[in-house]
Amino acid sequence: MSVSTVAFRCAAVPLALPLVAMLAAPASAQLIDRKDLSFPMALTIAQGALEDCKAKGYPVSVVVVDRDGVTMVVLRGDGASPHTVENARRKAYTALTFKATTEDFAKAMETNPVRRQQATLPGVIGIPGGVPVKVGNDTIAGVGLSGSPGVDEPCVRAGLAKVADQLK
Amino acid sequence: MSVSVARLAAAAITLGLAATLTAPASAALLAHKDLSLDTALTIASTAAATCKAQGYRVSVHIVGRTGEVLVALRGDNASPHTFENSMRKAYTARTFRVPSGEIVKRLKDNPQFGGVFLTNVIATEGALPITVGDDVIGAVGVSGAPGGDKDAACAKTGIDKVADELK
Repeated sequence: MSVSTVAFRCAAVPLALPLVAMLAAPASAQLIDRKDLSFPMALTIAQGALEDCKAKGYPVSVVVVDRDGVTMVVLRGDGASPHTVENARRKAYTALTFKATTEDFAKAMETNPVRRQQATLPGVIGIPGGVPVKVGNDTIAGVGLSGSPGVDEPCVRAGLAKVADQLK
Repeated sequence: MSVSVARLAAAAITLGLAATLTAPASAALLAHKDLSLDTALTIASTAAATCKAQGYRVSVHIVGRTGEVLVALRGDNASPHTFENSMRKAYTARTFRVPSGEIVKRLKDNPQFGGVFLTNVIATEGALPITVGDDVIGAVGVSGAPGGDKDAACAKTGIDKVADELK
């Protein structure tokens, strides 16, 4: 055995001890108890939002992302402009990850340099039309809609209203 | 070739080109049918429900005429890869105008088949083109059932559901 190997092992033993201690479950360790959107609920929200905007005369696209920002549902409305799908997804992701509406995010960008920097992260966008989905204080999803300037968020809220009773 | 002959040839080509660029009597806008969101969503949700009823956790994509995503559905507890996989299957079925399972055979018959190296193309069964007559207007892709044949069977129930509308 070479000198360097011995030296490495000597160093490794004290390092390994606290690691084992950390890995051993403390008394308080337990699985995280979470609620997540089901697929039928996500689809109901998306359809409700799209139909509300359609009734107002706007062809829109809608995206719902889950707790991790992963896309659950995409709906491209008849006649919606091509960019609306990406825009809706980014609004949904922004609302989910910052736990706030994208309208609030956009307003904060005006005064807060940090928000402006965060808007350069992939998938983030500061345009109104994204709403976080919450159960109590837990943000479990995000909904984004694009294609109806000025009323994107009300359309999303109409979709969320369809499942309000189940969000608890 | 002398200069004068070359000029004559160029003039002839120019004339021919002009004739081509001038709209012939037969020129007209392309008229075709495309999937509506309602029809696309019915196909997708029917395919998803069929697979779910059999205990399969699947994701489903519908793409339109240009391969654009019209509907994407991630089933409860479907494995993460199924989302991308169902999109790529659908894109493959749309762009080659055949069930994606046909591309599996094509690749087996010709291991040099280069189409599989294109972005989003995948040689895996589970997607079917959506047609109006001979016109392919989109495709439905399913991923997550234990076997591409089962994915394709679920996809077919979606198309069958709207058969009356596909004309």
